[in-house]
Amino acid sequence: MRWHCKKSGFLHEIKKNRVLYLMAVPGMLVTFLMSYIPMSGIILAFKNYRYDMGIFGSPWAANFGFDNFRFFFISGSGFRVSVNTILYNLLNTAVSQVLSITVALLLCEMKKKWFKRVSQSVIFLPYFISWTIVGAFVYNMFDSRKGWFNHMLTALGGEPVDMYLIPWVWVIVICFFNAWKWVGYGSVIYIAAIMGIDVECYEAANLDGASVTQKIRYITLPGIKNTIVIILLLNLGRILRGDFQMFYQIIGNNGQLFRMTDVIDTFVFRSLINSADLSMTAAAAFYQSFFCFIIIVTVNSLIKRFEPDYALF
Amino acid sequence: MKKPASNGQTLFNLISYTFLTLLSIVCLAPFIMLISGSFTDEEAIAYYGYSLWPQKFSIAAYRMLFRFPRDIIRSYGVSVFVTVSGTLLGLFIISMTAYVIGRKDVKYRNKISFYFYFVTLFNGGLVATYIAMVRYYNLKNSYIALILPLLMNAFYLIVMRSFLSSLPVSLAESAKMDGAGNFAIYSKIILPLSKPALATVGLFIALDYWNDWYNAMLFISTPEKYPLQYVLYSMLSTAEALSRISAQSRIPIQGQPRESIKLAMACIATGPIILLYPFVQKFFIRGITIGAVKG
Amino acid sequence: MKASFKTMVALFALTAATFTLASCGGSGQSPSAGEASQSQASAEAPSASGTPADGIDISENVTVEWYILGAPDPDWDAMMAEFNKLTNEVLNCNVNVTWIDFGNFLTQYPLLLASGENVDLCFQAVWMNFQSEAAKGAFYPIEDIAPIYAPTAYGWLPEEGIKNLSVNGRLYGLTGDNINRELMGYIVRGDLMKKYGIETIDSYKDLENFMQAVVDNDPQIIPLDQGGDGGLFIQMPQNLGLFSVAMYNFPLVVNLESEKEGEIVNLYEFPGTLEYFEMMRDWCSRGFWSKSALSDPPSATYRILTGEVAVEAHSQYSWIDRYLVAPKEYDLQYFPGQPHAYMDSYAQSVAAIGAGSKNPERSLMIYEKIATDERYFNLLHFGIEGKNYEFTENGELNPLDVTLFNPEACSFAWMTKWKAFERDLIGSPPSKAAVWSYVESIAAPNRYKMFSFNSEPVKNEFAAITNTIEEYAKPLQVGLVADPEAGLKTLNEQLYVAGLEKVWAEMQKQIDAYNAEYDS
Repeated sequence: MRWHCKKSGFLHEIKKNRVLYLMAVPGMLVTFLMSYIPMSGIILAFKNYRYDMGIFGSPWAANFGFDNFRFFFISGSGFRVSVNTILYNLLNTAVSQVLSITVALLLCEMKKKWFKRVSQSVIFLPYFISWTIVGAFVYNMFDSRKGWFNHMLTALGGEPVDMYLIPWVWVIVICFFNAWKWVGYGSVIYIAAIMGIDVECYEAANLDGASVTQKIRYITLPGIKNTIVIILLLNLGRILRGDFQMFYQIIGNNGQLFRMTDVIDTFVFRSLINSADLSMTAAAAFYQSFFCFIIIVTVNSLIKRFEPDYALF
Repeated sequence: MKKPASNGQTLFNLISYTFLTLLSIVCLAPFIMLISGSFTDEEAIAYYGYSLWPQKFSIAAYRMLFRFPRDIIRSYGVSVFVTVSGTLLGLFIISMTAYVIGRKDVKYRNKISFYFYFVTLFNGGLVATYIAMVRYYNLKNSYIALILPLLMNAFYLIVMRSFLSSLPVSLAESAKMDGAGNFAIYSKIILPLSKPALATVGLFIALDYWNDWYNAMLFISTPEKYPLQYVLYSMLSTAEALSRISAQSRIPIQGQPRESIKLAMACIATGPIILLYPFVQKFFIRGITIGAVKG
Repeated sequence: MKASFKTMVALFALTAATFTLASCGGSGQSPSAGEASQSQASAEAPSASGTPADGIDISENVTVEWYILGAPDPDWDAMMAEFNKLTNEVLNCNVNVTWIDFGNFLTQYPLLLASGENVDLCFQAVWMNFQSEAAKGAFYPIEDIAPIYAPTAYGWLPEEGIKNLSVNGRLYGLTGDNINRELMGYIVRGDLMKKYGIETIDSYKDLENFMQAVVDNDPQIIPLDQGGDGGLFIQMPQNLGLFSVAMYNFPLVVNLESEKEGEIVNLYEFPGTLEYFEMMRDWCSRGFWSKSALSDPPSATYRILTGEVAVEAHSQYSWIDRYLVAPKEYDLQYFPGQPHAYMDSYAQSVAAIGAGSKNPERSLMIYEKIATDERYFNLLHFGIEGKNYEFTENGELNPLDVTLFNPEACSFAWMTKWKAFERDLIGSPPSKAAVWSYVESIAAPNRYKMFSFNSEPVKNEFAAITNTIEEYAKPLQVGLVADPEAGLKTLNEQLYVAGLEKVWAEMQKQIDAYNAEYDS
């Protein structure tokens, strides 16, 4: 087995596992070139960018460099859209992950092979429908004139409802379509995780006459717990980022719905559409990054203390 | 061997079949509407909206798209090339890195993980990325500019690491005792054992490459090198932008794409990648049947 | 935790190293516009002073890079080959065109200009933030070289045009002499008017009657296209004697009828605005447009062309455009909706040279050719004669297949519009001449068309107001707010919270400065 060595210096470690470290180099190099080199752009958030002076030559923004952030907070909207973004992310993650895990569990217990294959493929289909087209579908559904939702309501004897005037409906619509689009994708991860569970466990359980629910509860769920935690953590690291395309295509420019449907990304897009200011865009992105960073580093260090195996880094 | 199904089993089956069937319908219906819409007469869409069956059948959209089939076929070629090469390379790099940062005896594994994860939190933004790609690496209008940006992905890396960590440790240990090197353990033992994980992450990478229009928008300037999704995207976004621009610029602008063409483009772009899915599925099914047969 | 702190330190050290790397490259490669023009001037000085314009050195064969907004027509390449034959013969250079999608220009243009790429000529416009981009150093100043290399294209510009295209005293663009005199109005289905016995639409009342008739007789048709952006509201400020100097629904406008020249007022507090919104509310509840108008997806094609709507509120130029492609039985008519026709800004369509340009002189020379030589102009605008177009006996333009080459469909044509070479399109509406002469009859000067508000000093407030308009003003514009009075009150409250007063003061300051210079 492993033997412990008193020398634990950096060089020694590198030397000991040189092949392993070497194997990580290609990935690190790509990341360095694609992500770390351009990271100088972050500084734009604190500058008044002038093309002819370059990123570093441009003058600093007013208010100790923080002037570019002001538009975000000026009217109190920044706080509102941040809360919205967080709540949507929590809701969407909860709904779509529960659904994905359920689908994965059910699919893996299916006995009819053709049913399993067909339904698994079909559930993946929404992933391919772009938000632009989803937006068109939603409009088709709820449009006050020709939308079939109102046709159905009137056919059932109800009164037509103008969905575009009722903000809370759109929380459900967005949550539904988000889950709908990602359930196939998410379940694939969990199916792969279930496939990784040692088959011997199931064999032993079968011999003991365990029921389906018992097998799920005592073997499958603990077996994919690691994956679940990782996925949740990865989602947590994006908690201040909204899926711009989803919100923009479904809600569009409908100001009356913004109170409940506006997220950071749509808010920034809308605010800057007439000025296309690169520094302010960078400022908004930095705001999102910074708070995601704080949150994930805090949570990760807590996890590291109690359950080191589940930590992201 | 036939076992009489218990009550619990029957109930479970009932619930799961019903649930999955309903879900499948919800997922399938819009897709059928998409296909049906692409075969529907333009004015019928304007009047009736989308439906499960064309209100008025027409192949005008496809005829219009394939009026210049060379462009479509060429962009298909670009997409396939980028997807295949990017996926193979990306899968290799990601799985290899994931193996390293998943090994408990690598002391700096968490620091390396953080190195990768950090870039999902902070990124330099568009301008700096663009300047780096175009001015430093001189990759404007090169296929490499379509492959490199998607090659590494911290999300997949960490998912891959969690998959690999569920493999029995004893395997690597015994191989090590047999004198196999670390790279040999990775390529000869770990890779063959983690087919479901490779299939999953490979599928995701392939989808990313196939669906990517953004990098093409930034870095590709000659239409000959446009991938399929960018051709589609620019048609959609142009229609959207024009309505905005015409209010500001008040310039009368013609030549916009129409509804059915939009849907037809989506069908054409989705088709081939859907074929990939059953292929990936094989890896899941096989694993399960082995277990079931044994059981 | 301690370990990851160390990692962070290491990362920041790494990033700092990157900064230095990037800064070297950044400052080394993009000379500031000022420097560029100085070195330019000194390099050109001998030839400019010593020899006349025809002695310009073009011995080196170069390829100039032009960036154009739009998408190429199928026959574009064939046309370009012809065009390059001409430029090669006469100017010893080729033009290479790169297309920027309408959908992406907001992303791509700043990148192109910011990274200092070799942009020898590009399309620019007020609505693409020409002035503010210029202020950021995106373009190459041409006041020294334009008179030498493009004497005609430069020479026609009156003093106010040069001012209009200049930022901080430096000239950054040229434009053609055929500038629109746009008049917003109503594009109406003539066949329906005949059916209902309505002869003209001269007022909101007429419009209302017509739309009510549509609702009563043809319920499957939506009377007015209010979707997308703008709709009827674009015409509204002018009907109150106001003029927008920023976006069409920006609150701060110039009061043209004020006793004080250039007084800025808040459109949303101006008398008449509430009445307008109340009328919109009334019209909306009577079904004159879709209740989901704000969520209407960008229409794939103009709704009036598919028979979905009966009226579209837009300009006389759009009318010609729609008329040519609409079903003939629709007999589209145009009725003006504004009292005055102002000439567009010179910066409405601009040819500008990027700060990183390698061949500004040659680019200007080609631009000059398009202005002075009909062969160049016709190729660019109409395509290849005999293949893409022909002229009728009375000189009208007959495009042979607009799907292969659509005249004027891209920004290439917009920035090179010259009166001398313009042609009427065959099949234009019979009433075109009448409309055009009417527009001439109500032509009026408007100095504020040439004013461009620089939002940079108040960019945060500007952004916040932009957002407030989207959220609170747009629903009012299309009558979706049940109580317009309360809605308008909320809108104004929010505007003040967003910093309206600060922008107001800034805009008044800029307008006063503009007027002082204009009157001097």
